[in-house]
Amino acid sequence: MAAPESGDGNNGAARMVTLISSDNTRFEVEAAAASLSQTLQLTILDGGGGGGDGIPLPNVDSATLSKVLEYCIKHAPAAANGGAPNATAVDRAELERFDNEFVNIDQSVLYSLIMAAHNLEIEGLQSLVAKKVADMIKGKSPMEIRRTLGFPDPTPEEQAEMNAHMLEYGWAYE
Amino acid sequence: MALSRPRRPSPPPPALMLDELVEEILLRLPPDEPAYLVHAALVCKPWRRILSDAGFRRRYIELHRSPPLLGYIHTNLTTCSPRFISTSTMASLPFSPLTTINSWRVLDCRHGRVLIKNYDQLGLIVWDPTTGHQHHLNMINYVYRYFEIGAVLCAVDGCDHLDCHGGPFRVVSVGMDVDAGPYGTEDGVVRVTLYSSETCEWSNRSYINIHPYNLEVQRPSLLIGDALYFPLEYGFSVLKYDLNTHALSIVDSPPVFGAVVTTAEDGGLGFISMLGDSIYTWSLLCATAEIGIEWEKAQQFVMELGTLLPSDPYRPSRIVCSVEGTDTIFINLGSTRSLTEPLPEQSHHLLPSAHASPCRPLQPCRSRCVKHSSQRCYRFTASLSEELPPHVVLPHSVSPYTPASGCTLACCIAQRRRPEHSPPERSLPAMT
Repeated sequence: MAAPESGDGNNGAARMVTLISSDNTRFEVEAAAASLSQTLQLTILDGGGGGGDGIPLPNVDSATLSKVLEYCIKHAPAAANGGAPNATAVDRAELERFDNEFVNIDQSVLYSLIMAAHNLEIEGLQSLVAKKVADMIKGKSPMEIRRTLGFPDPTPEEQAEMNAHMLEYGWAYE
Repeated sequence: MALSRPRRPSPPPPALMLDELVEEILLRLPPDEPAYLVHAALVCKPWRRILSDAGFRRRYIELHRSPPLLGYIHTNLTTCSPRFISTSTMASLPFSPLTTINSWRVLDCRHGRVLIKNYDQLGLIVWDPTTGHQHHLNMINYVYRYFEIGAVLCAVDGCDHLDCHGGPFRVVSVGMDVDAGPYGTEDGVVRVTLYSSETCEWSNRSYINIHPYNLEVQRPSLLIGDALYFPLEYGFSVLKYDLNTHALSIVDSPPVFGAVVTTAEDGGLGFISMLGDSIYTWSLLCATAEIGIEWEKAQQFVMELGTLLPSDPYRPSRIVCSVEGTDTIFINLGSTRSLTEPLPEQSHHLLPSAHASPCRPLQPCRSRCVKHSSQRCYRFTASLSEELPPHVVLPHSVSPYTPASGCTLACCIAQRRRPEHSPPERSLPAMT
């Protein structure tokens, strides 16, 4: 687990950085992967995160961070190609397959992921999770959406307002 | 864990308390079913606020280039009372029916407005199906003897058509007369007149001589840049009307039967045609006064008609129109045999056959996306035995009005697919 030398990027040895989750777990990852996060990219460009220092991420717990990094490591090569204009169809299909499986997870993890992606400014991940949640609610009635996403039951006032709106559209309740 | 319902009220998950994240989620609701956004707007007040925001609408349109298809207006020439056929799978959106007139025909749909020819009291109506507003146009002071076609469009320069309901619009009326005196009985003359809703006046009359019986009355017009293109008979040529100069010209089609006008990859005028199992696109190669127009056939792509559509060598399928601002084309199935298997892609509604009995139920329409080599995607929407292309309603914003709360839920949304560049500057010589 010794931190590798901070490579200069020219000799083939990828530069590694250390990220520290809110529960003090240390993750070593290639700088290229971590740089998918706009927030981390700035720190890394400034030379941070190398050696024993590590970049503390007080808003992200270790379970979420490991999931985030799984995404970043998978997507880093394509991102390095500048959006992968020359990526083969096979590569793209593989990434798509990975993405589909990646978001096939418990809802609470999805929420943690989208929060982390938002805080770390990882656009692709945020978009991926948002799409997943959107797919979960499409085609559902307002009440079903509330239940699916774990909203509390509506207050009587909220309920009355929803009913009034739905009557307005001629939609049956639920 | 989050799926279990809490026994007592508790706040929603933290991620759903951040407006920015909720916005990210709602932005990704697919645009092809407008009711998704309406349902989301009913979930809670914060969501309603997010969806009503103009910034949200803009981002939604940037993300989803393809406008939602709300339905078709299907014209049956024998009854002259078209029907609006909603493609929404959920309960109906608040469209106002056009109940005040009995006999009418749709001439054009654009920018959330429908141009209607009213046969009850000869005249034109511009109808907004989302607000129900009807604008009755005063009569032109001469009556077209033979054909009449037209176009309606928003009159605001640079408008993105997100919220131009009730705004000024223009109507272009195109009529043909073969008994035009000075032009001789063998020659037809096409007159084009422009109407402005701001002045409520017809003006800028232009005309062009044309071979008789040359107007294609049932094909929708196509707006590209500042010019409207009206298909002429058999698709051999198109009538171009420049909205700025009011000049009329005839543009020759590619040398192929049944070519239909569409917007080319570069944003200019193009054509699309079908031969056998293949679809061809045509873009302008060059246009000079000496040799006229040369069209270049773009790379063909194959539709796999064998599995998609019933094939009948005696009654081949053909393209009837392309839908402006989208990658949708309508194909008339030559064969009346039904489709052999349901297609995996998204379903719309099958338009009723003009020849079938009126009580025939609507069947699900099969449509299919086929990847083009340049990653442009066409949705082939097939209709059985339908001779006339439908007018497709793609409103540029649907704002379900909710008097209960006094607020407008600004929801769903459509947008031109190619807003990035204007059509290339190319002059098409007149071929008259």
